[in-house]
Amino acid sequence: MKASPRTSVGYSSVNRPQSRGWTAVWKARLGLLIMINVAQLWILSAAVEAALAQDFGQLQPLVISSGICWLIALSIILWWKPAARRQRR
Amino acid sequence: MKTELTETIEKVLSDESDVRRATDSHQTEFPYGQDPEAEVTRREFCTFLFLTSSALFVAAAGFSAKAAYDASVKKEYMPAVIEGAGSLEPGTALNFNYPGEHDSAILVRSKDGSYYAFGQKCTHLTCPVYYSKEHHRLECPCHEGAFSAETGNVLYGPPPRPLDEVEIEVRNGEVFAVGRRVRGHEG
Repeated sequence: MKASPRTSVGYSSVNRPQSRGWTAVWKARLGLLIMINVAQLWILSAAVEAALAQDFGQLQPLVISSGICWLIALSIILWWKPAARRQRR
Repeated sequence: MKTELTETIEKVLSDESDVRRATDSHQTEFPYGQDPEAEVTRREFCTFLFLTSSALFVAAAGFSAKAAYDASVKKEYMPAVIEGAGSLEPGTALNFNYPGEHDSAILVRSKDGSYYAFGQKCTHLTCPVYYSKEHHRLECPCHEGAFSAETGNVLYGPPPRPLDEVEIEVRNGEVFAVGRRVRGHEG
Protein backbone atom coordinates (compact mmCIF):
# COMPACT_ATOMS: atom_id res chain seq x y z
CA MET A 1 0.00 0.00 0.00
CA LYS A 2 1.44 3.28 -1.12
CA ALA A 3 0.87 6.50 0.65
CA SER A 4 -0.32 9.16 -1.74
CA PRO A 5 1.56 12.42 -1.55
CA ARG A 6 -0.39 15.17 0.18
CA THR A 7 -1.19 18.16 -1.91
CA SER A 8 -0.91 21.59 -0.42
CA VAL A 9 -4.15 23.43 0.11
CA GLY A 10 -2.45 26.81 0.38
CA TYR A 11 -1.31 29.11 -2.36
CA SER A 12 2.01 28.39 -3.97
CA SER A 13 4.19 31.17 -5.26
CA VAL A 14 3.02 30.38 -8.78
CA ASN A 15 -0.74 30.40 -8.44
CA ARG A 16 -1.09 32.90 -5.63
CA PRO A 17 -3.45 35.67 -6.73
CA GLN A 18 -1.93 39.12 -7.07
CA SER A 19 -4.73 40.72 -5.05
CA ARG A 20 -3.64 38.81 -1.94
CA GLY A 21 -0.44 40.84 -1.66
CA TRP A 22 -2.21 44.09 -2.44
CA THR A 23 -4.70 43.51 0.34
CA ALA A 24 -1.87 43.09 2.83
CA VAL A 25 -0.26 46.31 1.65
CA TRP A 26 -3.56 48.16 1.86
CA LYS A 27 -4.13 46.90 5.38
CA ALA A 28 -0.63 47.96 6.38
CA ARG A 29 -1.23 51.44 4.95
CA LEU A 30 -4.52 51.76 6.79
CA GLY A 31 -2.98 50.57 10.03
CA LEU A 32 -0.10 53.00 9.81
CA LEU A 33 -2.36 55.92 8.96
CA ILE A 34 -4.65 55.15 11.88
CA MET A 35 -1.69 54.95 14.27
CA ILE A 36 -0.37 58.26 12.95
CA ASN A 37 -3.79 59.85 13.49
CA VAL A 38 -3.92 58.62 17.07
CA ALA A 39 -0.41 59.94 17.74
CA GLN A 40 -1.31 63.30 16.24
CA LEU A 41 -4.43 63.51 18.38
CA TRP A 42 -2.29 63.01 21.46
CA ILE A 43 0.20 65.62 20.22
CA LEU A 44 -2.60 68.09 19.58
CA SER A 45 -4.00 67.71 23.08
CA ALA A 46 -0.53 68.20 24.55
CA ALA A 47 0.03 71.24 22.30
CA VAL A 48 -3.26 72.82 23.40
CA GLU A 49 -2.33 72.30 27.03
CA ALA A 50 1.14 73.76 26.48
CA ALA A 51 -0.29 76.72 24.54
CA LEU A 52 -2.75 77.53 27.32
CA ALA A 53 0.09 77.35 29.83
CA GLN A 54 2.32 79.39 27.47
CA ASP A 55 4.99 76.74 27.80
CA PHE A 56 6.88 77.45 24.59
CA GLY A 57 9.66 75.03 25.47
CA GLN A 58 7.21 72.19 24.87
CA LEU A 59 5.26 73.72 22.01
CA GLN A 60 8.03 73.70 19.42
CA PRO A 61 8.94 69.99 19.65
CA LEU A 62 5.26 69.08 19.68
CA VAL A 63 4.60 70.96 16.45
CA ILE A 64 7.70 69.44 14.85
CA SER A 65 6.53 65.97 15.90
CA SER A 66 3.12 66.57 14.40
CA GLY A 67 4.80 67.75 11.19
CA ILE A 68 6.92 64.60 11.02
CA CYS A 69 3.78 62.49 11.46
CA TRP A 70 2.14 64.41 8.65
CA LEU A 71 5.14 63.84 6.38
CA ILE A 72 5.01 60.11 7.09
CA ALA A 73 1.30 60.09 6.25
CA LEU A 74 2.05 61.98 3.03
CA SER A 75 4.73 59.48 2.07
CA ILE A 76 2.33 56.61 2.75
CA ILE A 77 -0.29 58.17 0.51
CA LEU A 78 2.09 59.07 -2.30
CA TRP A 79 4.73 56.36 -2.39
CA TRP A 80 3.88 53.35 -0.28
CA LYS A 81 1.93 51.38 -2.87
CA PRO A 82 1.98 47.76 -4.02
CA ALA A 83 5.00 47.20 -6.27
CA ALA A 84 3.05 45.71 -9.17
CA ARG A 85 0.60 48.57 -9.18
CA ARG A 86 3.40 51.09 -9.05
CA GLN A 87 5.11 49.49 -12.05
CA ARG A 88 1.88 49.38 -14.00
CA ARG A 89 1.35 53.12 -13.70
CA MET B 1 -70.29 38.99 -22.91
CA LYS B 2 -70.32 35.72 -21.13
CA THR B 3 -66.69 35.19 -21.97
CA GLU B 4 -65.63 38.53 -20.41
CA LEU B 5 -67.61 37.83 -17.29
CA THR B 6 -66.08 34.43 -16.95
CA GLU B 7 -62.58 35.81 -17.41
CA THR B 8 -63.19 38.46 -14.77
CA ILE B 9 -64.51 35.95 -12.26
CA GLU B 10 -61.61 33.61 -12.86
CA LYS B 11 -59.14 36.45 -12.48
CA VAL B 12 -60.63 37.69 -9.23
CA LEU B 13 -60.78 34.28 -7.71
CA SER B 14 -57.47 32.83 -8.74
CA ASP B 15 -55.10 35.41 -10.13
CA GLU B 16 -53.13 37.67 -7.82
CA SER B 17 -51.04 39.21 -10.51
CA ASP B 18 -52.50 42.67 -10.05
CA VAL B 19 -51.99 42.69 -6.29
CA ARG B 20 -49.45 45.39 -5.50
CA ARG B 21 -46.09 43.88 -4.82
CA ALA B 22 -43.71 45.13 -2.14
CA THR B 23 -41.07 46.55 -4.38
CA ASP B 24 -39.87 49.60 -2.44
CA SER B 25 -36.90 49.28 -0.09
CA HIS B 26 -38.94 50.23 2.97
CA GLN B 27 -41.46 47.49 2.21
CA THR B 28 -39.00 44.65 2.29
CA GLU B 29 -39.01 42.49 5.34
CA PHE B 30 -35.41 43.23 6.36
CA PRO B 31 -34.35 46.47 4.66
CA TYR B 32 -30.68 46.36 5.58
CA GLY B 33 -29.42 46.85 2.05
CA GLN B 34 -26.94 49.67 1.44
CA ASP B 35 -26.64 51.89 -1.57
CA PRO B 36 -23.45 51.30 -3.53
CA GLU B 37 -22.74 55.04 -3.38
CA ALA B 38 -22.59 54.91 0.43
CA GLU B 39 -19.83 52.34 0.47
CA VAL B 40 -16.34 53.64 1.21
CA THR B 41 -13.40 52.17 -0.64
CA ARG B 42 -10.03 51.60 0.98
CA ARG B 43 -8.52 54.34 -1.15
CA GLU B 44 -11.15 56.85 -0.01
CA PHE B 45 -10.64 55.87 3.62
CA CYS B 46 -6.87 56.30 3.27
CA THR B 47 -7.42 59.74 1.77
CA PHE B 48 -9.74 60.61 4.63
CA LEU B 49 -7.13 59.55 7.17
CA PHE B 50 -4.50 61.64 5.42
CA LEU B 51 -6.79 64.68 5.43
CA THR B 52 -7.40 64.11 9.14
CA SER B 53 -3.65 64.02 9.70
CA SER B 54 -3.30 67.30 7.81
CA ALA B 55 -6.04 68.92 9.90
CA LEU B 56 -4.44 67.78 13.15
CA PHE B 57 -1.07 69.17 12.09
CA VAL B 58 -2.61 72.51 11.08
CA ALA B 59 -4.48 72.67 14.40
CA ALA B 60 -1.32 72.04 16.44
CA ALA B 61 0.64 74.61 14.44
CA GLY B 62 -2.22 77.11 14.67
CA PHE B 63 -2.55 76.83 18.43
CA SER B 64 1.19 77.29 18.81
CA ALA B 65 1.31 80.26 16.47
CA LYS B 66 -1.62 81.91 18.23
CA ALA B 67 -0.01 81.43 21.64
CA ALA B 68 3.34 82.75 20.42
CA TYR B 69 1.69 85.76 18.79
CA ASP B 70 -0.32 86.61 21.89
CA ALA B 71 2.79 86.39 24.03
CA SER B 72 4.81 88.61 21.69
CA VAL B 73 2.27 91.45 21.54
CA LYS B 74 3.04 94.14 24.09
CA LYS B 75 -0.08 95.73 25.49
CA GLU B 76 -0.54 99.24 26.77
CA TYR B 77 -2.40 99.30 30.05
CA MET B 78 -4.51 102.20 31.25
CA PRO B 79 -5.06 102.62 35.00
CA ALA B 80 -8.56 101.62 36.05
CA VAL B 81 -10.19 101.90 39.43
CA ILE B 82 -11.43 98.66 40.96
CA GLU B 83 -14.87 99.51 42.21
CA GLY B 84 -15.74 98.19 45.63
CA ALA B 85 -12.13 97.46 46.56
CA GLY B 86 -12.01 100.19 49.18
CA SER B 87 -14.77 98.58 51.21
CA LEU B 88 -13.35 95.08 50.85
CA GLU B 89 -12.99 93.45 54.25
CA PRO B 90 -9.69 91.73 55.16
CA GLY B 91 -9.68 88.02 54.34
CA THR B 92 -12.07 88.37 51.41
CA ALA B 93 -11.78 88.66 47.64
CA LEU B 94 -13.40 90.52 44.79
CA ASN B 95 -13.69 89.67 41.11
CA PHE B 96 -13.10 92.32 38.48
CA ASN B 97 -12.11 92.60 34.83
CA TYR B 98 -8.84 94.10 33.70
CA PRO B 99 -7.64 95.30 31.21
CA GLY B 100 -10.56 94.19 29.01
CA GLU B 101 -14.05 93.05 29.79
CA HIS B 102 -13.10 89.44 29.10
CA ASP B 103 -9.90 89.46 31.17
CA SER B 104 -11.19 88.29 34.50
CA ALA B 105 -9.09 88.94 37.60
CA ILE B 106 -9.39 88.51 41.32
CA LEU B 107 -8.45 90.97 44.05
CA VAL B 108 -7.54 89.53 47.44
CA ARG B 109 -7.27 91.54 50.62
CA SER B 110 -5.20 89.72 53.17
CA LYS B 111 -5.81 89.83 56.89
CA ASP B 112 -3.18 92.53 57.39
CA GLY B 113 -5.10 94.78 54.98
CA SER B 114 -2.78 94.68 51.95
CA TYR B 115 -4.09 94.01 48.44
CA TYR B 116 -3.01 91.39 45.92
CA ALA B 117 -4.48 90.92 42.45
CA PHE B 118 -4.07 88.12 39.94
CA GLY B 119 -5.58 86.89 36.71
CA GLN B 120 -8.41 84.53 37.45
CA LYS B 121 -7.55 81.98 34.79
CA CYS B 122 -5.70 78.95 36.09
CA THR B 123 -2.44 78.46 34.22
CA HIS B 124 -3.21 74.80 33.71
CA LEU B 125 -6.36 74.79 31.55
CA THR B 126 -7.77 78.30 32.20
CA CYS B 127 -10.46 77.31 34.67
CA PRO B 128 -11.38 80.24 36.96
CA VAL B 129 -9.71 80.15 40.36
CA TYR B 130 -11.53 81.24 43.51
CA TYR B 131 -10.37 82.49 46.88
CA SER B 132 -10.47 80.02 49.74
CA LYS B 133 -10.88 82.05 52.91
CA GLU B 134 -10.31 79.00 55.08
CA HIS B 135 -6.90 78.20 53.61
CA HIS B 136 -6.06 81.73 52.43
CA ARG B 137 -5.13 80.59 48.95
CA LEU B 138 -6.49 80.62 45.42
CA GLU B 139 -7.82 77.23 44.39
CA CYS B 140 -8.73 75.77 41.03
CA PRO B 141 -11.68 73.38 41.29
CA CYS B 142 -11.10 71.69 37.95
CA HIS B 143 -7.90 69.77 38.67
CA GLU B 144 -7.24 70.66 42.29
CA GLY B 145 -4.47 73.15 41.80
CA ALA B 146 -3.72 75.90 44.29
CA PHE B 147 -1.86 79.20 44.25
CA SER B 148 -0.56 81.45 46.98
CA ALA B 149 -2.96 84.31 47.63
CA GLU B 150 -0.05 86.70 48.19
CA THR B 151 2.39 85.77 45.44
CA GLY B 152 0.32 83.77 42.95
CA ASN B 153 2.93 81.03 42.95
CA VAL B 154 1.87 77.43 42.54
CA LEU B 155 1.42 75.65 45.85
CA TYR B 156 0.46 72.26 44.46
CA GLY B 157 -1.36 70.63 41.58
CA PRO B 158 -0.88 70.56 37.82
CA PRO B 159 -0.52 74.31 37.02
CA PRO B 160 2.91 74.77 35.39
CA ARG B 161 3.45 78.46 36.25
CA PRO B 162 2.19 81.20 38.57
CA LEU B 163 -0.97 83.18 37.96
CA ASP B 164 -0.76 86.34 35.88
CA GLU B 165 -0.06 89.25 38.15
CA VAL B 166 -2.25 92.36 38.07
CA GLU B 167 -0.26 95.34 39.26
CA ILE B 168 -2.22 97.59 41.60
CA GLU B 169 -1.75 100.92 43.28
CA VAL B 170 -3.65 102.48 46.16
CA ARG B 171 -4.40 106.18 45.57
CA ASN B 172 -6.43 108.16 48.09
CA GLY B 173 -8.09 105.07 49.45
CA GLU B 174 -9.04 103.74 46.02
CA VAL B 175 -7.41 100.72 44.45
CA PHE B 176 -6.29 101.04 40.83
CA ALA B 177 -5.21 98.30 38.46
CA VAL B 178 -2.30 99.69 36.43
CA GLY B 179 -0.84 96.70 34.57
CA ARG B 180 -0.93 93.01 33.98
CA ARG B 181 2.10 90.76 33.78
CA VAL B 182 2.38 87.22 32.49
CA ARG B 183 4.90 85.27 34.49
CA GLY B 184 6.90 82.35 33.25
CA HIS B 185 8.24 79.28 34.88
CA GLU B 186 10.56 81.02 37.30
CA GLY B 187 8.15 80.10 40.14
